[in-house]
Amino acid sequence: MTAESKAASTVLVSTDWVAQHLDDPKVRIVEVDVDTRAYDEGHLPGAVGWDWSTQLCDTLRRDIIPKEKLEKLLGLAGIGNDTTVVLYGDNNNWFAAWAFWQLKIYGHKDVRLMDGGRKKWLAEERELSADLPKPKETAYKAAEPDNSIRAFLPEVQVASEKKGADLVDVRSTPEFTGEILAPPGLPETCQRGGHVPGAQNIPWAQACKEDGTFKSVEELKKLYGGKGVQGDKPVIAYCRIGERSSHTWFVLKYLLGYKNVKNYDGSWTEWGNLVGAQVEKGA
Amino acid sequence: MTAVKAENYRETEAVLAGWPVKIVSYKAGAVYRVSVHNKEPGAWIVKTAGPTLEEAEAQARKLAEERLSKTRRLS
Repeated sequence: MTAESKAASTVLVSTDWVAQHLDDPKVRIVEVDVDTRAYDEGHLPGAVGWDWSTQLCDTLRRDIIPKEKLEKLLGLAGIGNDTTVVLYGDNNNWFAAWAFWQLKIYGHKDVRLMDGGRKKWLAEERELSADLPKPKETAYKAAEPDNSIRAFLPEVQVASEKKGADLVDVRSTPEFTGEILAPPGLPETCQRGGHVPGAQNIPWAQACKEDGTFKSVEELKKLYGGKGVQGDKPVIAYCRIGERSSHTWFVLKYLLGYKNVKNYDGSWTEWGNLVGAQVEKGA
Repeated sequence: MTAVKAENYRETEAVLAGWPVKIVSYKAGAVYRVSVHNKEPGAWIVKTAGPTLEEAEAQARKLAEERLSKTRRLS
């Protein structure tokens, strides 16, 4: 087993593995969807559901979930500091990756993604439940936030000007070039289209296979390395609101083992609305 | 426990209002669930449910077309 695939085995689990651990008391399965109603349509038996739009953020100011709120959320889900948390969701785990990133910010040791997410579970015609689990509440203690995996605007501005970090825009190419202001069918959430000057476009989906699972480490190395993103420089990934870039952050940090990778969760809804910010258009 | 199996999972491709999309459907219990996703970046646009696949899919296509037609191409 290579170092990379060994790393992957600690953060990725298959649908088979999850099916075998549905009743494992050391494992808590959590669904986090883009569509916050998907959980109610039927979820993995025993899985808890989190709403990214209300539960995984600060609802007053734009920010990630505050520490105390996270402790309460995890406690109510029956998650202890030594629990293996398995996250999965729709859209190939976009918001599951977002939750993964936040749990890592707060220092949870054992977090994993179910490879392929909700889509693969459904495609395999596995069991769904409408029941809401009632876990025994725990007293979860989070660590202070580790912002070494999070990029804020000033750092992105410096990276854009000085080229000291690889900026990876993981949105679709029409969003990157400025042809559209939001993914087709979704509301426009920025004033200007285009990308952060100096960023390169590697859409998140290129890291996945058709069934939603991640590509092999070799294929991923070729994909990112081929664009010059080799992990020899810090990397900052961004998208529109930070969830797709959490997915790419996960790939670069955990599947490829790059040391210095950050998710810029302000993303295009920050940069593309910023008065005076430089914007680059085209490919 | 109220548990059902997901059945008849299917993904097909189409073009609605000029945008390539993926139409995903499956059956859970007596309900057919259909969602329409943009091909790029792969986000869901609408979801519907109905007693038959045809009914749920027709509704999903109609709603998706309405939403997709509002997307502007700037260049």
